[in-house]
Amino acid sequence: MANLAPTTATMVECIKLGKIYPPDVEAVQEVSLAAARGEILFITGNSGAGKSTLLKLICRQEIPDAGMVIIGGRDIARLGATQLQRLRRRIGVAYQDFRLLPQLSVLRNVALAMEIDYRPERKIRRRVEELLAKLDLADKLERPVSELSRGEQQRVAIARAAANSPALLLADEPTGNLDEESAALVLALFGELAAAGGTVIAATHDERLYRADGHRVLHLERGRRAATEGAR
Amino acid sequence: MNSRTGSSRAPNRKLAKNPNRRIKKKDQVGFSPFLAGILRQTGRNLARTWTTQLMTLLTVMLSVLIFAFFLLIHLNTIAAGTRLGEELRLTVYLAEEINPELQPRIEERIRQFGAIASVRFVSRQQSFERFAARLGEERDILDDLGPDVLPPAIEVIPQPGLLGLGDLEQLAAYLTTLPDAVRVQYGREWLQRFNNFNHLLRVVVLVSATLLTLNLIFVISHTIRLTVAARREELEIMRLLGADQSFIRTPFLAEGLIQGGLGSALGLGALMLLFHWAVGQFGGTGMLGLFTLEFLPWPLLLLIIGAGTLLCTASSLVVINKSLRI
Repeated sequence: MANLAPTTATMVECIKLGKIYPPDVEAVQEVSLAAARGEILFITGNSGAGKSTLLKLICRQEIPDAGMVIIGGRDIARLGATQLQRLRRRIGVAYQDFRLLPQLSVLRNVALAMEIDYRPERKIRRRVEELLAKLDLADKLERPVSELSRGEQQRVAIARAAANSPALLLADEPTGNLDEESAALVLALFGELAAAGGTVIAATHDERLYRADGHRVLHLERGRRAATEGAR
Repeated sequence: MNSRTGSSRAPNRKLAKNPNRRIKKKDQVGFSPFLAGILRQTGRNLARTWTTQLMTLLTVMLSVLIFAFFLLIHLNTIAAGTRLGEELRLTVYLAEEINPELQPRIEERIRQFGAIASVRFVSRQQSFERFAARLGEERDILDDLGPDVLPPAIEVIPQPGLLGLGDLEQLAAYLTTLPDAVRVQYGREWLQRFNNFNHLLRVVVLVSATLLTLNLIFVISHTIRLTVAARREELEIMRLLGADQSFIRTPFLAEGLIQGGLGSALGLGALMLLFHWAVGQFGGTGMLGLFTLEFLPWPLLLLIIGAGTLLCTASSLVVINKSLRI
């Protein structure tokens, strides 16, 4: 089973990760990183630097050509299909393209992550309402996602990623479509998850996010780790 | 402290003694959340492709209706044949009446053929009286005639098991060898037609069952494929969110199960309505006094619904295994 119980302080560890897209695009090259429980780690870099690919490798949406990803002390390459499903239920991912279901309501989109985890409807409803209130979407509960603005859709995607109170939350450009006020709400939510012992890794261009509160920042250039700011 | 509070504290005491219990409990999926999740997904499937689902339901219903219609006719024909078989008799017309002293020997010889229920000797006088009785008020046309105009006969009633046309032909041939036997009459041509009709119906039932089974498999498979295609993106998202096989597959299985069960039940319901309408139109279940029509018995109805449900669910399962490889 993909047990994410707190056995070590390190939640995620990537060792010399490499990913090559055909024909020969080296998206990620020998990237190593570690993120602790309760930490918010930002990955920055220009477009095409490999930020999104790195997140996809961590949640095994993509399979690395080199290196390994260790989550909760376990090499995820060794997980079977069922174990991987369980692991994914403990990881929240906010995708850059949102991956929402436009015809469904905001409630059902966010609830989907919890339905998949077989949570009771009563708890689902309570948690979704709580998250939407934190992200200033409380009045959009029953609205179809297709009727929301890009910024609202982005917050719905973040709410879905946070729905199961994941041990690890991966967010790809989480504030790409948000104004300052909404970005602050997202950052506050990330802070809450981290304070509860969760790990947040966010790929972003948004300096407002990673300059605040002195979080650790890992900078990528052309698929390689170029610099790290902050303590650890 | 009320009893509710007291009962909610009991598991906590157990948890305190065994912390691993919390982990085990968390991994267990309650029936209610699982069922709610599956029902919600199934509802979404049906709503998303409701026109296709409706067409599929109608196809299942019509397939079952057509098959059950032929089966109904076939079973009623068999029942009618059985009833007619019980009344079947072979009449051996004789040139001369058989001396009563010889009758036991003749009867013994007839029974030697086997499978004979009864043998009855009919004299010229008995034939004449029976004929007169059959004429009723017009019996006076026989006033100038005597019993000699009608031949004596032996009526042979075979046992119900002896219904095959070949068996009856053999018995008839055997009876013609009796002393003074002139002719054996048993409605050979009618029986042959009835047998051919019955045989044809059996073929129609088998062929229709085969074709309609193939049709159901094709239609259900096609519908599930369409549903999977319509929900491709949603399924991909579910996989990324960590949905397990049960969560993804069970709604599609439920779809096949609903289509099969509901379609079969509606098909049989439609047949029942048609049956009662036809019986009302054509003069009751004892149609023309020849047939007593009966609807399909309940166990058979349940068997058809079960078979339809199983077939549609199995078809869904095969398609899901092909289409939803993760």
